[in-house]
Parts: sequence; C-alpha cells; structure tokens
Amino acid sequence: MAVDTPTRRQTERVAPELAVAKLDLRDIALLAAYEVLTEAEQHTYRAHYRRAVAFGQRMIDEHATAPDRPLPEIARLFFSFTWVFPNLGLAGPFFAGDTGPLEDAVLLAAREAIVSGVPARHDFHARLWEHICDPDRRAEAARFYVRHKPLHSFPPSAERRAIEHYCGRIDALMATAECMPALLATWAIERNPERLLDLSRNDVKDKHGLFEQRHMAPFLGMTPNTLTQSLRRLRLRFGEEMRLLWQIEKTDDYDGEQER
Amino acid sequence: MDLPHATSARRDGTETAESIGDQSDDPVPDARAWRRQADPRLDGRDVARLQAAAGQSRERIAQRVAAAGLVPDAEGAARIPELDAQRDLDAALEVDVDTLQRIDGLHARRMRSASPRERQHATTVLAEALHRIVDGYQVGDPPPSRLLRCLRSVDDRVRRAYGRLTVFDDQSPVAAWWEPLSRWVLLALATAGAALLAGGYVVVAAVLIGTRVTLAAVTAPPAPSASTWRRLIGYNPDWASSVCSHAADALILAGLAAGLHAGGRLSWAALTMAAALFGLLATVSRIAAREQGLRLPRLWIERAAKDVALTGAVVAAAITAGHGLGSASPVTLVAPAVVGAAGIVELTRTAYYARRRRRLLSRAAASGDTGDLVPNAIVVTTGDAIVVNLRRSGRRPGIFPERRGGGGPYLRMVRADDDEG
Repeated sequence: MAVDTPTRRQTERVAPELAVAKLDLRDIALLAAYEVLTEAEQHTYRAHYRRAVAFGQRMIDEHATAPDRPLPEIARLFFSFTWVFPNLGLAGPFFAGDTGPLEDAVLLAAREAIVSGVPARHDFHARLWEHICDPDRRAEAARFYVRHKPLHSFPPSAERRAIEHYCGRIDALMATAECMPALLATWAIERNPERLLDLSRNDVKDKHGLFEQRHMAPFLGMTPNTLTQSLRRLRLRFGEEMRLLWQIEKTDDYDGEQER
Repeated sequence: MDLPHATSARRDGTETAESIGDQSDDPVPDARAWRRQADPRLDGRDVARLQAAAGQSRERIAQRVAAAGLVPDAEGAARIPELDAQRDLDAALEVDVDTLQRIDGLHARRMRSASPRERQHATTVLAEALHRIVDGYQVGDPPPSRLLRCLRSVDDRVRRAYGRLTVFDDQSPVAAWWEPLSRWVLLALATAGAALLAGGYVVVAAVLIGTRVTLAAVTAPPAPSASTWRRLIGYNPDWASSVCSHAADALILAGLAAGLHAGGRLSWAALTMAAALFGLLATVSRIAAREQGLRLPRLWIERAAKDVALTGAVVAAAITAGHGLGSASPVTLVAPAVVGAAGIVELTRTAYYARRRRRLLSRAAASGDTGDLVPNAIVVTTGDAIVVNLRRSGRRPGIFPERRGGGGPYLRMVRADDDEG
C-alpha cells in the first residue's frame, strides 16, 4: 500500500503570501502598489516592477505552494497579514471594526515608498498615528475602552450614585485628556499580544508593520520608556479611582454605624 | 503560522462591521472574523480613491514623519528629547481630570454629605482645586485690560527686584551664616531703638533704626533654607521673618508713642500707638486670610513706605528734638499716618478679594444648574488672590450608553471572575 509521505521539498513550501516575504520590502511594495501609481509613475518604475515580478515569480516557484491569484494580490495579502492584521488592536477600538482605513494606509505607504523613497514602515506608522489622533476616531476608541471589563467590575454592594460618580470620572478621563490617544493606542497594542506570534518567522520579522510602543514614542516626541510608564500609571490611576469608590462606600457604612 | 490559504481568503459579503467584533464587551474585534474579510483585489474605484488620498495626505504625512525624526536628513526633523519632561502625560492627565472635576459637586459633597469623612475629603480636594494654577481663558470673567496687565507686570518686577536687593550671592558663605541670624538681629535692633526712643535717646535710636532698615534691605538673605531640623520641629523661616519684621515695625511705633507720651505729647502718643495696633491688626488679618484660601503677599510698596516713614520720622525727630520727643516736629506724625494708611489698604484689599471670590464661586456653583456656564478652572494668581474661570460649553455626547444589558439607565454590575456578568 502506497503511503503518501511528503518529501522534504514539499514540507518546506509555504503559503504564497509567506514566500513573498523573502523578497526585498521595496519589491513587495512595488508588487502591491504598482496599480495605485499614475500612468506616468508606472512608466517611470516599469523596469523596477518587471524585475520585482521576476523575483517574486521565482520565489513563488521555489518556495510556495500553488498560488491561485496573481502576484500583486499575493503581495497585498502579505501586507494584510503582516501589516494590517498585527495592528488589529489599534484597528479595533479606533476604527470600530472597519479595517478599510488600515488597508488603504498600507497601500498608500507602499506607494510613497516607491515614489518618494521614504521607508514604507515609517510612512505607514505616520498614517496610523494620523488616524489615532483624529478626534472622531479617538472618541470611538474611548467608547470602546469605557466598556473594558476590568473598569466595570464594581463591588456588588456599590451604590448607583457611587458608580455614577466613578463612571463620570472615567468618562472625563477617557474623553478629554489630551494624551489619551497615545495611551489608548499603547493599551490597544498591549491588549493584543497574540499578533506577535505570527511575526516571528525570519523572513517576516524585519518586514512587518507592527506599530509598537518604540515606534509610537517618536511621534509623541518622547522616549518609549516614558510612554510605558505613563500607561502603567494610567492603569494605576484607574485602580485608584476604583479604590476611592470602595473607600467612599466603606466610609458611608462606617459613618452610619457611628451615627447609630 | 496560522494563515488562511488562498482559496479561503475571500470576502463572502455577509460580514458586517458590527459582526466583526463583540461590540458589547470586548473592544478588540475577533481576529479570525477579520481574516475572512481580507480581500487583496483592487478595482478602478479603489485605485482612483487611493490616488486621490495619496495626493491629499502626502504633505501631512511627510510632516509627521519629519517631526518624529524618522527622516534624519530632512529639514526641521525634530530631535527626540532625552528628558521629555515637556510632554509629561501624567501631568496632563492630572490637569485635565481635575479641571473637569465639577467644583459645585465638590461643594455639595462638602456641605451636604452625611459622611464626615467624605466631607473632609471633599474639602481637601476642593482646597487643592482652588490652589491649582491653571492657564486658561476667561469667558465668564473678562481678562484685564492691557494697561492693567502692564501695571501688574511692573508691580511684580519691582516686588521681585526689591525682594532680591541684597549684596549676598546664593552661594556666599556669609549668607549662610547671616541668614538664620538676620531676622533676630533686626528685631533686636528695632527693640533697642524702641527702648531708646521711649527713653528719649532719639539720636541713638535713629541710628539704630536706620541701621536696621539698611541691613534689612541690603543684607537680605536670598532664600531661607529649610534644613532637616527645621522641618522636624516645624520651624518656618519665612514665618519667623514675617513676624519679626511686623513686630519690629510695631515696636518702633510703640517706642515712638512712649517717647511722645514722656515728652508730654499725649494726643500724638495716642495716635501713634493706635496706628501701631491698627497696622498690626491689618497685617494679621491679611496673613490670616491665607487660611481661607486667599493668597495675598505683602505689597512691596507697603514695606517700602513703612521703612521710609518710620526711619524718616525718627530721623526728623532726632534733628528737631535734642533730648526727648517733647519738642519733636509734626513730621514725626508721618510714621503713624503712613502705617495707618497701609493698614487701611491691607484691610480693603483683603475684603475686596474675599468678596470677589465669594461672588465668583457662587456664580460657578449657580452655573451648574443651568448647564450654560460650567466652572472650568480656578486660577490663583499671587497678585489677584483668586479668580474663577467659567466657560460656555455645549453638552458633550455621553461616552456611556444610556442603556446597557437591559439593566436600566445605569451600568450593570460585572463581576471580575464572571464573563457574563
């Protein structure tokens, strides 16, 4: 009886969007965003594009399983899974589940990398930061985060008035503090640690678009450590609010006993 | 790596934005649902939209990249500060939250809470809010005119310069030696001068009082140091200096009054003594107003006028009168007159700012009912005592939904260990 044992060659083959990761990032950008260029720009970069297509086709032939879509779509899929998806923590709260702006940001960053030579990752992060700082998106994120479960684990005996007071403070904190975009984004990143798991392969790890704290800090004009500490203190602040809620309640009980 | 294969990575058209994530509890949408949404195809409309977006956003994004210092060779690239104290996020949080803390709510808790501890806590928080210095605009209270601001600026500069009129450096060893000693030496000089005035030795007294004024102005220590033992015993050098200074002024006037009484000028003596007591009372009332939240520093012009008037009166008495103050000229009465006028100014100032603060606070509290004016911040300036800023504000949309989980207009309780609540 014949046993279907995969050969070594077969086991090394990966999905096409992973095999594309072996290309240079500029080539991947060319493959993904060439259609977005204007005709004049396409004419300028036609030779680069053809070379990138040749490289990409060779990579697919050597390392990938059988593709069922053209190379540009595979490159865009690569960006989706290594640039858009890892930033899902950001996309969720700030974009209300709509990943369209992130996908657009990736393609625009790839386009700018071709045209102006700016590193695609820097341009992509700048676009992410632009979205994060948008007041409407920020309000959207605040609406998500005020529903964060640990913020609403009230003691069972807490009075409605005390809960309202606490929620009012959290409301004010989330909606009005100037530094909240940074903290919310950092929080969002930290809340989604799983996105790091898919980016550990050698071919991908230097080419992913993950927006990390150390990338976010320059946009704030600060060191990453300060951002981390601020987030830590923000959480402590929430804890302090909760503690105050408890204290007021306990004080009321104590005073009631004393007056009686 | 858990990536979907090419055949399954199609948008099926049934996914909606709401179904992507669990909107009710978890802010982060479901990753697997999002993966199914990935569609790498581009049509003509997508290309046109992206080209238009690229043209619109290019300059803005380039500025952001340059400002972040990610393009080192670009002009205007900002260097990331090593100590980014200017972007203190914690301070921003503190200011924002405490600014938005409703002052009238605190007043209500302070006044009407059944819990003494909560009343005490609210009083503490309110006091902190009252003393917090916040830069803000003043809508409810129009800002002072340019002329008034200019005068205030000049006044502030003169006050600082007068306070710093000293021959000592900060690091001078003489200053370190003289600082703890100075206030007691000056008080001793004033006491000796007062005693000599009472005894009729006017010339010597004038020399001592002149020496005191000169020493106080020229050898003023730059800043009293708060050493460990001073903190331990609760000794405040500023407070001691203030008491010594005002007590010395009162003592000199009392000595003058005693000398006038000994010289047979009973009415002058009574007037001088009354001025001494009145000046002391006015000063104490100003200082005590601090306990009510009014910060009224000593006016430089009051200090200068008292110094000049007291010294001038005693010197004039020394010139016109040989032995005793019986034959002193009426110029001697300048001292009690100036001290009395300064006392009236101090009392008026204290009363004015207390009344003003009461009016502003009541307006802030009343505005909470209408919702039109809300207290924004309370600005404390040293020159103006206390000012409440009011701002007009439209109603912000609430962050919390009106109704959640069918639990009525309030939040439902969620246990930490229970996912479903």
